[in-house]
Amino acid sequence: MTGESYLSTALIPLLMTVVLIYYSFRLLFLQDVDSIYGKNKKKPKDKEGFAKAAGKLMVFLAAASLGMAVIMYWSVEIALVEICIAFVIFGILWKKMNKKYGE
Amino acid sequence: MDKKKLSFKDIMINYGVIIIVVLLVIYTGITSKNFLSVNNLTNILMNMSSRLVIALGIAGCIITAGCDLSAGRMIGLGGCIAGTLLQKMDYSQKFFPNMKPMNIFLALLIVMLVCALFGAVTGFFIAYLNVPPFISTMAMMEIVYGINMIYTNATPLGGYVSSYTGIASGRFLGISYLIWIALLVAVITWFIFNMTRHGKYMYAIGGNPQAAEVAGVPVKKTLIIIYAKAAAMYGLAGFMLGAKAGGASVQLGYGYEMEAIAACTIGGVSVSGGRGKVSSAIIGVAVFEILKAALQFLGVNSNAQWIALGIIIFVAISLDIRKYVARK
Repeated sequence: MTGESYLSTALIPLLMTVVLIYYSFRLLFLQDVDSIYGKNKKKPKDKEGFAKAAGKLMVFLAAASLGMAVIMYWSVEIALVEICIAFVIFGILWKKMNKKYGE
Repeated sequence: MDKKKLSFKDIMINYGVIIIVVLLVIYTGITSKNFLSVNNLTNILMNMSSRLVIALGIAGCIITAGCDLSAGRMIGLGGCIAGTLLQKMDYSQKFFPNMKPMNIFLALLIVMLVCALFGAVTGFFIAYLNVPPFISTMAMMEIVYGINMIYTNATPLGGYVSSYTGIASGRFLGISYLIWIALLVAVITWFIFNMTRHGKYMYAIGGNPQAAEVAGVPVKKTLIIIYAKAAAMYGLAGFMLGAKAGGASVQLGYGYEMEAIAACTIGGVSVSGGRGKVSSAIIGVAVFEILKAALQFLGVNSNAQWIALGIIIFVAISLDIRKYVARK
């Protein structure tokens, strides 16, 4: 795989990594919960705890996305399995986090 | 009846983008003699058809204050699945060499069902695991992209049977089948939005999800149906685009989700949820496609066209957010 064709293949996971890092920054350092849920959604009961936990989970998904971009260089199949597993883990942890800080 | 008078500022905030595009169309119509020709208008309608199907799918998600960033990749998947099932037997690079081309309706059904399945998974993550829509759909975008890469081996597809490409070239009452399909989808979507309980639930969720839940709206089930239905429509759009282009690749539909979200916003589907009609999506898509055609006719550099479209998206979404803040 040439550098250019690799970049065009891995562009989407790389883009997602950047977007997730941006939102994790907003959550971890600015506690900006509105940035992910919008302004008309019910506010979490523990805003600070929610923002910190959600930010950490975003970092986890960003790392998984970056991992997908790297693994894609060798095998798209393994990269796909990796992101699927990471997304399911992310979903379950998000649900737990939401139960603890959000509802 | 006491009607509030609209000031110039209100008119510009509500219809500013549409007014600017109408003025641009008038100017282009006067300066370029072929812009308002029947051929060009038919071309614009053909381009609008698949974009409208995508916008109507995404409109449902936006009305619930969500979004769907996986639309472009679903279109690619839909186009590629249809492509692999509808290749000629004598095509040298046939994807399934021993498989006879399928009936186009059966292929369409398979495409829509596969896409709907992915949409339902996205809806499950949003509804049951409370993952914000932009994260769920973005992750699904990656997953669908990966699946499509593996499925097609990243090779472009072509050599379609004539019954498939005929969808784009064939006409009924002088109008392309693609336009008829888009009209049919618009009518069905109008019916769902306005005449069914599901449509009412959708607006209730977009207005206030907590109040909707208290009022007995099955929020979770409705969200799953909305995302599954939207994904099925992206599959249909991919099927239409594949027929029109006579080929497909994993790159099919790249960036279409942004255009669709922008078109909905320009037309009046609010990104803050609870508001939007089928006519809003139609107006938005028409404005967007006419703008693209007008810029081409005016000889604007293709890179500069992207800048102009970006500015329109930026202005439309900013005005929509301003309207939301003013309402609050």
